[in-house]
This record gives sequence, C-alpha cells and structure tokens, in this order.
Amino acid sequence: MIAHEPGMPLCGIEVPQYLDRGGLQTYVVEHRPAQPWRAVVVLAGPMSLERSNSYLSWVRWARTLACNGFWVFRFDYSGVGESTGAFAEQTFDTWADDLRAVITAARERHPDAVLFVNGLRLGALLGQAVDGCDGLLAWDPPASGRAMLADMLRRKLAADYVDRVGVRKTREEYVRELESGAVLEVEGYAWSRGLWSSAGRHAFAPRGRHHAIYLDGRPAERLPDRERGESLRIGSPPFWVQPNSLVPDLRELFRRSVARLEAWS
Amino acid sequence: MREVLELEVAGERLVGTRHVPPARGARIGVLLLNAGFAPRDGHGGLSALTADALAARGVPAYRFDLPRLGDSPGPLPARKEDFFEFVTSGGFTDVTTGLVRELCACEGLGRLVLGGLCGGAVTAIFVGAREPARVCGLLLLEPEMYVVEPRIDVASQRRRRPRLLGRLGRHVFDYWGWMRLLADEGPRSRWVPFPRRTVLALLRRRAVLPSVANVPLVNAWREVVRHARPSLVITAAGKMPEIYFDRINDVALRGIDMGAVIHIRLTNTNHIFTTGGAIEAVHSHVLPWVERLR
Repeated sequence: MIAHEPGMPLCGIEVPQYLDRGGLQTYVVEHRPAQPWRAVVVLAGPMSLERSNSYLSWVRWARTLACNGFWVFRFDYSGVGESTGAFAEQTFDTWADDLRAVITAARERHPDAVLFVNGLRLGALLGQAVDGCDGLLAWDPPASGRAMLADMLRRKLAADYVDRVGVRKTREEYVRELESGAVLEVEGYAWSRGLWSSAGRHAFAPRGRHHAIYLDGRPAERLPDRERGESLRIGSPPFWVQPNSLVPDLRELFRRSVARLEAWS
Repeated sequence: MREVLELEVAGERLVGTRHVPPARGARIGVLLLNAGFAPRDGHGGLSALTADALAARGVPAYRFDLPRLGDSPGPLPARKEDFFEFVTSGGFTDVTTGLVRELCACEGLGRLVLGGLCGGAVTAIFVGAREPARVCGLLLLEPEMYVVEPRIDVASQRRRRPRLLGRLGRHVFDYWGWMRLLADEGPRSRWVPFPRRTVLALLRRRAVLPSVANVPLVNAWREVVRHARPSLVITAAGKMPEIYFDRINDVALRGIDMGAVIHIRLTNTNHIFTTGGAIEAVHSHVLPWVERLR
C-alpha cells in the first residue's frame, strides 16, 4: 500500500466541483488517479463538527486511495461544509439523498466500474441505506443514528460544563426540547426535530457485502457481527472528536481498508 | 450561489469558494481565512454562512484553504504546536499576500476586507499591515496576540525546580495553568476561591507587554491601528484571547487613536463561537460593518 503523506506529490489530479441538484449545490471533490485504476470509491463522511475535526485525515485517506488505484468521489452533505442548504432543514433522509445523488453521478461517469461506498460514522449509517453500490466499508459505524446524536449531546454537556455557557441542562432535557420542536444548537449547528426523529429510523445492521471496522479496539465478542466486522484501536480521542495530531497514525486502518477494497474489486 | 475557485499562488495550488452576489460590479470583497487548521467553512459553518450572508447583500465573498489545509495540498506538521508556531510567526503571510493580490486582479476588485478566526485573524493582521493598498479592513474573530504555549521540556524543568515539590510544584509554577484558571477556562476554575477579575485587573495595570506577547504581531497590529484602518474585533467575553487582547492593547496602543477599531464582546460563547448563538451574533455585527465600508 502507498500511504499518501502531506506534502507528497498527488497521485493524479483533484477536481473540486459543484453538483447542481435543482436549487441545491452539492460539493464534490474527485480524486482521479494518474495510473490505471480498479474501482470507484464514494467517501461518505461524518457530520458537523466531526467533519471539521476529521477533514485533514479524510482528505489524506482520499489521496491514499488514489495512490492505490481507486477513483474517489468525496462530498459534503447539504447544509454542511461547502454544500449549500440550511442545516436546520436537513435530516438523515436528505443526507441519504445526497449520497444517492453522488453515487448516481459517479455511476453516470463510470457506468461499467465497480463502485464501493466507504463511510465514517454518519456516512457508515447512510451507506447501508442506499442501493447501487457493490460493497460498503463502514468505519466505526454507530449502533444507530440516535446513539450517534446522543454521543454528540454528551459532548455538548461536557462543553457546557467546561465553558460555563448558559444554563446547564441534562441530556434528557435537551432531547425533550428537540422532541417538542425547539431548535437546539449543538457544536454550532442547529438541530431540529426532523433530524432527531429521522435518526431513529437508522440503525446499523450489516448485510451482504458490508464490512465494518470498529476503531475503539473492542474485543471480538463485542462485535455485532463477527462475519462482517473487525476491530482496531486508533487511540483516544479519535480523530473526528479531537485530533491530538494533525497527521494521526492511521496506517493500519488505511492498510486494512485498502486490502479489503482490493479484495472486493 | 457558490462557485469553486482554484488559484496558483507562489507555486501553491489553493482551493477556494466564491460566493457570488446577485449583481456584479462590486469594488470591495471579503476574504475569509482558515480558523486554525479547520477547513475553510469554519466551525459550525461560521465562515461559509457569513460569506453567504455577505453575498446576499451584494458583497462578493471568498474563502480559501491555505496550503496544507482543507482541500489545498501541501506538507503538514504532525504536531499541532508546530502548526500554531508556524501561523503565529506569520508563516502564511507571503502566500496570503499573494492571494489578496491575485484575487483583486482576477476578480476586478479594488480592495478586500480580510478576516478570520484565531489563526485566520493572526494572518489577517500580518497581511493587513503589509498590504495597505489592497486590504481596506480587518475582521478579527478571537485574535490571539500571544505566542503559543511553549514546548515543555520536562527534564530541564525538573532540574530547575526542587524535586521536593514534584507534581504540585510544576502546577504551582505553570504560567499557562494559572492563566487558564484566571480566564475561567480550566476544569478546576470553578473551585478556585480567589477573585479572578481582581487579579486580572491588577495584571492589566502593568505597563509592559506580557512576556508571551507575539511582538511582531503586536507591531503589525499597531501599524494597522495607527493608520486608522477599519477593524472589527469580536471576542468571546472573558476568555484568554480577549484578556490578552485588552492587556496588550493597553500597552501597545497607548496614545494611539482607536476610533477605527470596533470591539464587540460576545457573552456565553467559546473560542470557536459554537455556543450561545454566536454565529448569528457575528453576522449581526459583520454585515452592517462591511456595508459601511463599501
């Protein structure tokens, strides 16, 4: 495996662009490898602040894939990052539509290619909700959308405590506010009732050619599906929560993931 | 509407976003820089949303990933401390100056407002002082006027301080630990009984720059203020960047007319403005200020 390190020449060209979708603009970056390539990989990333925290590693991973013969599409969900749209109007379902749109665009560009989705956190959940791909490689999939949002609310509680901002509440109080229709500011993003209720419709249940890599180093007996999962410890806190390093050591994750995608293609 | 914009500046490929106003022909634009090592949309989408709001009011706005950040390629130090040292020492000044010139030329703009949060504000000050003809205003969100916490050389510290004190001694003599306590940013702050505000007020009365002041940055800031360049500064009330900003201004800008500087203090928020409705509060101050510069 060729691991792309920051500062190395790119293994091809990178084309940032907007996918126009009837009033919505979805930001997509294509990593086109210079050498012959074997498959297309659509990267579906995490949401909100997890996206910001993981961005450097996510781009490094896309470049590593290009160096190893994969044509990569990565994108931003509506209301997040470079894509347009109001965050408060987004749900897991609108984000699944975003992923479908990018898969469709990738398919139109390469109709005969094998296409995989590689999702991190939210992206792992959404990857199993869409059809049209030949395999899903899920990095640290949450048990469910609600579990993932609850994790973020826990971080909000911790931030409330440390920063001493506003009136401190419990997670249950925040959930009640969401369910009553209030908009809740979490890590700078406006969560809505629609987001919370849509999260309840997404749980991770691998099937077919789905494979999960859990990044908390959990023992094999705690894997939800040993046939379709493995475990790896990448250090704590993980790079999408608070990067301790700008270039965290993810070689083993990259190596296993490239090997999996190569085996599938 | 947003458009992707790619520029080659000083041999570096920079990827950015153009926020297009409904009507063309504006002579002033706004350029927002990365907040620390975050991608160009900013934490909570602060920069992206600000740029959208500016464009809706007819002001073209641009956001670029500087080399190594976001979508722009380049070498990156592994340690966060090394990156911050690079930024606070003006490491992005040359490329950002080139970017300002290139943007003005290719977009047909006479001048730009330059801004950003934290590290973005630091770079904006350096470039603002160097490029007075093209930078007509500075938008400084949480500017950090001090150098980053120095690397701790544990071995030499142990030699200097009595072993008897051990870990407690290291805490007692830890300058940054004390500052975090005073700024109410440490997890133990709430348990410290002394009057923080009084101690901070006493510190501010000192007539010399604090030893951790980023002197080249302070000099650049003084140049900007001395020439009455319009500047909008927004800080999180009571947090460390604001404490240093006030203290350094008291010393460095003594006798200089600060009429062109507007300082807004946002309560109930954090350093990256992701709590307390700070993003909307930033918009409510930035939009009218930029409109007055047009």
